[in-house]
Amino acid sequence: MAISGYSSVRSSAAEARPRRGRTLLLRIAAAATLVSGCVYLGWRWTASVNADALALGILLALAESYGLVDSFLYAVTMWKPAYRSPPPPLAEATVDVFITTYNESAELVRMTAEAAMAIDWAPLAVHILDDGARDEIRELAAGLGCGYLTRSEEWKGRNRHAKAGNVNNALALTSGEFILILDADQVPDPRIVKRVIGYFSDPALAFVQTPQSFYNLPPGDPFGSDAPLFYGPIMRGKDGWGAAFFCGSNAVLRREALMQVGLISYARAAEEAFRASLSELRRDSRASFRDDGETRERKRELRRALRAAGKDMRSGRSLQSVAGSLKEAVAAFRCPPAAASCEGTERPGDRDFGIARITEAIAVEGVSTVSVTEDMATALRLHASGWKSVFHSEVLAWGLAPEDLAATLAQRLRWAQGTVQVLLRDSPLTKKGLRLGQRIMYSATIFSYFSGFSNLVFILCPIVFLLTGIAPVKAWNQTFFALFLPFFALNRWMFYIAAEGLDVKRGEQYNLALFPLWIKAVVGVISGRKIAFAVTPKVRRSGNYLGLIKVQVGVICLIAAGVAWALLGLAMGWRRDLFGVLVNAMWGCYNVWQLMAIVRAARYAPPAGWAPRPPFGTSAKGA
Amino acid sequence: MVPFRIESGEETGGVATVILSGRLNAASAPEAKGWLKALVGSGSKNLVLDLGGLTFIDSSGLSALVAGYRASAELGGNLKLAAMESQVFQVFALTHLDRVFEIFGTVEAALASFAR
Repeated sequence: MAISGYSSVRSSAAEARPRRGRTLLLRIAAAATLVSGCVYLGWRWTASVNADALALGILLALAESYGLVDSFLYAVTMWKPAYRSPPPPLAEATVDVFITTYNESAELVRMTAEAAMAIDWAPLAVHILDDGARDEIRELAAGLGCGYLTRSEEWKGRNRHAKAGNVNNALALTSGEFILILDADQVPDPRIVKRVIGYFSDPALAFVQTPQSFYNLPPGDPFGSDAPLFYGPIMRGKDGWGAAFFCGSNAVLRREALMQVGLISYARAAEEAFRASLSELRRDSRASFRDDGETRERKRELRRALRAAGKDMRSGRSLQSVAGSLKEAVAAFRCPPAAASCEGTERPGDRDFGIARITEAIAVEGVSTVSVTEDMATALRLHASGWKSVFHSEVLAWGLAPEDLAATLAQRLRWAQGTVQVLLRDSPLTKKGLRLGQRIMYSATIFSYFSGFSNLVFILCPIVFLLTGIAPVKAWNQTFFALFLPFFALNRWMFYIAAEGLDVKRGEQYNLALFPLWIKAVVGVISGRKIAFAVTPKVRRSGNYLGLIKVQVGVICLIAAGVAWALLGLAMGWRRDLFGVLVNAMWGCYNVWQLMAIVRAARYAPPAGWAPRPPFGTSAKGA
Repeated sequence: MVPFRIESGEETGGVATVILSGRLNAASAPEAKGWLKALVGSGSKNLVLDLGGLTFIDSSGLSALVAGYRASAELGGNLKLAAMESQVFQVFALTHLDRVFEIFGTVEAALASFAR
């Protein structure tokens, strides 16, 4: 087939064969990298920070230390990869297919739904989860004979929680034992259920994730969407530590696991809400000098009841029981016996003290809503409750990658924001129930999103040196290179082995080039800015996107100016640090090479006649 | 296998008793949830669920009970659970719902708690 645009995510079963030799080599490279890195960084911190430019010197040492920790976490990830071959399919299992859509075209949804209905499994129920509640999708579902689900009445006027809410709504309306989740653009292979359902013979298994692969990758993958490293070595590594991630689509999940962690989270949320209600009542019951005698007495009574409630909670009484005892006291406080009418005195929380979670559309949420990356947050909950996960490395669905820079940036920003939200709201560092290896796997992913800060330093240092001659290190001398080069080379070697021969150049370029985006995400989430769930557009919007990367373009200009200025200085004899200029010019050029990837992406236009189609699916025109 | 059943029991002092029996799992949970919501919607906001006849419950089944509780709480009522067997209680304890819900040994005790 001569269709271009396929991901390089490896898909054949042979690729998943264990490679003990490679793993051993990787461990040697990792150990050597870490030893040389510690020697280098030890020297950097103790003997080489330029005291005359202390701030810059410390920033660079910090950024390099970040890099070493990142390499360490990467090495741990790769330490003991899991290579899986699927067990025979279960004899019986009911499977629901959820196709989540919000604003994608009916044609796109049709392609996915038709392929889903062609999945070779019975009993199978395909449902389109249309969060846009569009008539054309309803008609499409009716025409195809598959289920059509939209939000129920309960969601009116309540937080919708984007895709997580859409899936939770469907969980409450369906009953299959297993759920295959597909994004609207992910066209499944008919074998998808048969290939992975066998893993569920382990009753403790919560989900199986398969790779996300694309059939519309523009030539040269200008947007860095292809993720063969993640959906290959990295996920195998996480799987080896019992921490394969759920990535939102192309995964089969066990309903019981989702509902169980949903109940556990509900119990915890109910307790938190109840405690918050008690605090609020405590504030209401605080004495004020304006109170008359009767009010003072009422407040005293309420305080007495609250003290009793606190004691009851500590003694292990259920929330419902404590709330029952408290209800009367609160009613008496709100509306004294002498009052003419009690209308309007009740507060929203007085009915259930938060226990019934009536502010939410559904109390029990199988999919976590703490983050805009609901998939990661859900996997974290499952792992913390002792459920297992599997990464099955065979490509069993093909979808669409973003085809313009705006969509790419919106998607990456959401990933970064969501990941940092998980750190703040349900931190894998402190969450009870996770094993050490799982904690490290989650932390490694979260930690990697902080690279924007270190990359900013790596970008600034050569610019500062070229323009001003101020260096963050005491000297670019022999000792520096004798210690730096071995670490650098070993580090590259380790990454090379870990990549298993995959082309990861674009990913590396984007990691540096997106530094403003990573910083924006971290700062935005930590400062508490509200974050909306952005649905990644599946259709290219043409245009010139240079306006989105002003910072990167500015940096490239600064580097060019710095090199020109330094060379001029050398030529005119203003400066004599030839070696330093050479080193920093090379460093700056390396940065430019990385940044140019995103400049090319901003100016990308698809080749004429570009109309990629998935390799399977029944109605693909021209397939 | 005992099929799932849900039916009205006696009504005592404004509190309706609901009797559940058989297997309350993902397949029967929507029925249980719909039934409880309809009952609450028809005006019976205070309920006691007699779970003595349940032979099995899973997390979807529990979610249906939570949904029933939520519906009654929304109208200022209450839903109390009574007479559960040990398998059913184990599932409750596993999901920490025993910390949320008061669980009564008998239907009579649950009814009496409404009178307190």
